Formats: sequence, C-alpha cells, structure tokens
Amino acid sequence: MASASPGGDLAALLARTALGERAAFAELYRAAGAKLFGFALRILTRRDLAEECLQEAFVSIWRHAGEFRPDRAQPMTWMTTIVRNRALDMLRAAPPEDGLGEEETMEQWAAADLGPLERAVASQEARALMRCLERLAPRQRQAIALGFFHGLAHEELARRLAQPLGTVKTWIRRGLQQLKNCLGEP
Amino acid sequence: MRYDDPALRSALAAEYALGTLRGAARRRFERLIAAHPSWRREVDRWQTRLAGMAETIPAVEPPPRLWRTIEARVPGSAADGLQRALRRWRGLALAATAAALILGTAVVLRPAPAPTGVALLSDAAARPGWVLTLQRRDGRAELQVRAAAPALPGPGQAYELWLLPGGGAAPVSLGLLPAAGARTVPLDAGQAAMLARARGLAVSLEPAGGSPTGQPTGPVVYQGRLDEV
Repeated sequence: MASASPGGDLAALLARTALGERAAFAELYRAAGAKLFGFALRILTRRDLAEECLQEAFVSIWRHAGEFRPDRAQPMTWMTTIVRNRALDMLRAAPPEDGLGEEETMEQWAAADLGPLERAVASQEARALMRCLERLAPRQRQAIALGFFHGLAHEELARRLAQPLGTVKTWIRRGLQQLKNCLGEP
Repeated sequence: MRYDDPALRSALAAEYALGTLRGAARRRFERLIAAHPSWRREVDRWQTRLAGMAETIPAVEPPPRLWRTIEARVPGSAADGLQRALRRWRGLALAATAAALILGTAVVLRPAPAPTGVALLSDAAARPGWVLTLQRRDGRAELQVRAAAPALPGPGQAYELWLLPGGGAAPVSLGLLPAAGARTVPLDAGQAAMLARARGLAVSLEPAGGSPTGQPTGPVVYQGRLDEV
C-alpha cells in the first residue's frame, strides 16, 4: 500500500497542531486516522472500544503534539505508540469476554511465509523489520507479536502458548536480541 | 543488577517497549528512563523498531461521527490555546525572573521609549531564548527582538517566529529570529491587532531562509506570551 502521507508531511502537521491550528489537526486525522483505527480495532477487536480508543488518542495527540520530537521518532511511530498504550490500558481494564481474538494473530505470525503481512507495509523500516522477523523461529515471532498486539505478560504468553514460563521468557529475550542484531542499528 | 551494561539496558528497553516488562521492574525502569536521556533514547529506538508490526494491519475507515466527537473535545478559543501553552511550559515563574533580569539590562544599555509589552520565549525546560519588547507609538507597532541564549541552530537551519492568532487559526510568520544580537520587526496593523488579541508566540526550527510553505514545518522549540504593560 502506497503511503499518501510521508513522514515529513505528518511532522509538519504535528508542528502546526502543537501551535493550536485546528485545520492542521483535521488534516492529521484524515491522513492517519484510518490506519490508527485499524490498529486499535486489531488490539481491541470491538468497534465501540476502538472508537473510544481513537477518540482518546487523538485528544491526547492534540494536547501533546508539542512534545513530539522529529529527531527522536517518526510521526507515525509516535502516534502508533499513543494508540497502542491507550488500547492496551483499555484491554487491561476490561478484558473482552469473548477472548482477545488472538487466533488470527497467532496463525499469521507463526506462518512460515510472512509474505501476506509484508505486502501490507509501506515504510522501509517496517519492511526491514518483517525480513528480520522472518528469520526468527515461528513460535518466537508469535510470542513477540502476541506481546505487541495484545499486551500479554510472560505468564499469560506461557499459558496461551502452552509452554513453560522460562521457555517463553527465553524466546522473547533472544528474539528481541536477534531482531536488534538483524536490523544492524546502534 | 548492573544497569550500566549496554546489553542489559537494551534488553530492558526492548521488553519495556514490547510491554512484557511488568510490575516493580517496569516502575524501576521508568525511573531510570526519567533520569537518563540515553535510556529514553534506547526505548525510543525499540518503539520505532517494533512499530513496524502495526503497519501490517490494514487501515479501517472510522465512522464520520468520530471526528465530530474529537473536534468537539478540542478547544478552539484563543484563551484555551494559551492555557494549554501555559500548562505545557513549566517553570514560568523562573522564566519571568530571567525576563526581568535580561530586560533590565537591555533597558539600561539601550535608552529607548518604555516598552508597551514584553514577552520571554523559553524552551520546554524554561531556558530563555529571546526577549521581545513591543513598542506601540502613533498607531504603529514594532517588536524589538533580542537573543538571550538560544541553542545554536544546526547548519542549514533557522529560527522562525510565529504569532498564534488562536481560535484555531493558522500561525502568522513574523520572520526569522537572530541566533545572537537583536533585530526589529515592524508589525502591520493587522499583525499588531492580532497580537493584542491573542498574545501567543512560538518559535519553530526551519530550513535556512525560513519555512518554504509559509506555515511551520519543523518542531516548535520555544514559546511564550506577550504581556502588555
């Protein structure tokens, strides 16, 4: 999927939002709202909760736009982190009765071929991450994805993956270390 | 635990960003992030790495009513904007003291008509960048801008001053700011009226020569408000 709004544009919109300009804020929502809504929906699985999450996240973006630092993060990463934190807080406060909807996540991320997932990403950084994730053992990758999308702690991960706690902890720790080495950054 | 071990630091930052670092260990780590910028940067790097996973999730168009709800919760008046800015910029009392000191010096060194307004532009840590004094005379207005101690802009960068009209309106450029020394910015009647109404001022980091779009494109690094006397 081609990105309609490169990071530079989003950074400028955030800068103008920080100065209280509502038109820039509206444009930011138009540019990033659907992507962030899809992400919130993936975590929370219920539309009503995802709507509440996106609403709170954008009010937070309006209030804190002045704290965004382009030398520290990409604008989309910064906003994604706000949405994710809010969604995981909501998930912990009120876990859905009918499960987390993690089956899809588990299957996709444990598959030998990450191609379908990789085709969805636009940025170079995300492509590099997908290539590196593909080099992990499927179960290791799955554990990291469950942590990322569902905010599971080690104990919950161990239960859901039916593995000893120590094994899961090792998967995560080594998996993250391998990712870092593979991405080859400082 | 040896917190100065870079490998351990990276491992903790990774599990913090992923969310698997929990309980007392998470709280302890949060204190370390707050105290050590290098730890904060390591968390930033991990958040950037992991955020790529979110890109695999397809976009879903939210219902139109959602934007209307968000818009209704975002303040639109100039007063709201200023209160927001005031809350955000800590240490204003300290900054005011610095303004008085610097302004005192400026007035002594340069005999000039008494200013009708003064503003201190400071950064998020309340470090002063510029002192602005406003002169209104015979229906004309000008801003005297004096660099206090702004951080030096990077090569190819410049500071640009913006007037924030408030009420959700776009910022208005008042030109580039000197990194040292002083300059005078004449205000037209429209700018002077806007400044009297809104009083909010901000400085963004722009390419040398100023914003290519006529709107701020870089981060807002200094902010302040004009107090008319």
